[in-house]
Amino acid sequence: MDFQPDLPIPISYVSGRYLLFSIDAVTYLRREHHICGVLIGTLPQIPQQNVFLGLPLELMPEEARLLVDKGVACIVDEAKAHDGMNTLLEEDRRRYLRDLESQGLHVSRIQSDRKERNREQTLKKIEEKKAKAKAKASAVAAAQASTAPEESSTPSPKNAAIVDLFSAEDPRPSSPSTASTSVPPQTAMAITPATSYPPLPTPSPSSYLPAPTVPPSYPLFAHLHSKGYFLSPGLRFGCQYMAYPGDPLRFHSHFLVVSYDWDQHIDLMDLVVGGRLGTGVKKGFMIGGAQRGIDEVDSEADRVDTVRAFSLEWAGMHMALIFPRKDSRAHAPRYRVVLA
Amino acid sequence: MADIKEVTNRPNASAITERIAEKGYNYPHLATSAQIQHNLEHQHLWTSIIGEVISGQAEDPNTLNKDPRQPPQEPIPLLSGYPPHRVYTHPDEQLYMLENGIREDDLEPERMFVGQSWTLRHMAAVFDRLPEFKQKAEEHDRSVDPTSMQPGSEDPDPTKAEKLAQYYDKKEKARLTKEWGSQRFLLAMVDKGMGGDGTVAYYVVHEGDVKPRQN
Repeated sequence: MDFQPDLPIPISYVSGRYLLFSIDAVTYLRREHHICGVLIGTLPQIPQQNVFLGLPLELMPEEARLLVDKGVACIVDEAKAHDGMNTLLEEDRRRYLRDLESQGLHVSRIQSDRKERNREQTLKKIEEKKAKAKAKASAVAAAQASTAPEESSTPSPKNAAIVDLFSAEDPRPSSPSTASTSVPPQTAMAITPATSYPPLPTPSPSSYLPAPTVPPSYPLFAHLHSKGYFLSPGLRFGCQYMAYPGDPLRFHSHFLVVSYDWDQHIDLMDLVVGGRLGTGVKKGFMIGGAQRGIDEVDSEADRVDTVRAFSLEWAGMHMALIFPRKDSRAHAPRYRVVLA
Repeated sequence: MADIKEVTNRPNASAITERIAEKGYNYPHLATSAQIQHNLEHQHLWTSIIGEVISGQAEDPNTLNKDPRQPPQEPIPLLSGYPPHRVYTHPDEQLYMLENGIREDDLEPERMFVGQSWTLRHMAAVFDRLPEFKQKAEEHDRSVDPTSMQPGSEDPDPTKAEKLAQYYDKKEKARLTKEWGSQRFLLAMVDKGMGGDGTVAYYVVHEGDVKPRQN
């Protein structure tokens, strides 16, 4: 089940966004590289349904950059990569369509097989029930002799109704003989592939776009990622990143993360806001950044090693009832301060 | 008329303001630290408070050209003392204490450090110098009360004493592995601006990623 895609995985660059269209790539990156991204696809017919979104998966520039730096992925200009679609040879085109059709046939066969199996099971159950009812009826008949002959006929119309209900998709009258010899369906399911590199060749390394430009917070992002955290965009929570200690489907996040430059003034009010928000939702508020600026080093990777991070929690030390400890050391206070 | 004049007179300065004015500080935030000390001592009942100052690098006015590991331009005041109750307990440490029936009251008080900071450079400087100041503070404690560093010697309950000994062993190990959190200090901030009421708020700052408490 663990699918291993060919590396590097092409990330589609579409009008400033980094997108993934292959579900196999998405699951692989999440499983092996702790990159979750955000699913942004809605259904074309019901775009307002946005509780459960699907493909494509949008990656933050930081995520895309990290994968490119690791050699796991590459950036491909989606529009340019599809130029080849116009010049596709007629033969290739036909082969591709045939391929799609055979895939569709395969899928519909699987589906009809499943339907067939379900139907057989239901029929078997009905048969068993019928047999049981008959046995019961004959037992009752034997016991009561011939007192109520019309009672024994009641189960059969009920059963017929059940058969009708389950064979609704199949207009043919159901009988044990025809059920076992159903013909394979002729119509293939319409397949809409999410990716387009079966007809198109996989993009060549020369066509890769340069690694994505990243915000100044990238070193902190990469630092936390290297420590095993899963990071997601933090806008919804009033920070830059959310840091989860494991897959976000299994864990609550531990930190609200905000990055600062090494000599950037930190407004204490921001610390209060972040610290109180974090403590209020049982998270730490983390600030951090690289010691070196991008102009002082050769690459972003060098900065990641110089990251220092600090986590803040509200100490809960003001406006509290304070009583001295019985064994408080040195100068035991002679009075107590009680605030409320 | 005389009555009105009396009413409009300025009230006397508070004890803390007088004290700060008396001492005369070179930097405004050193004066702030005096206020913090006052707050810790009289509102939060901390004891044995001692102060330290991480000296700045005044000779180099341009912070951008500096080695990132150097402390900032301004001196950073740092206070330490004993709070009446523990200010911070790591969640895993708390679990250990619960499992072993150790209550907070059984434990030796811990010296806690209080500082202020406004860039990452300041925070890093504080953490880099913290071990040094911890040692100094320990020496100070020994000079004040030589017996105070022996934990729980007069405890009448032998099983509890054993449990406590195990706890302190575990704590020492945890300090090295950082499983019960890394170095930490309290960040103090005073509301002194327009209409500021002098309220002091404290935040626990950890070095690195320390998982949050589930309180």
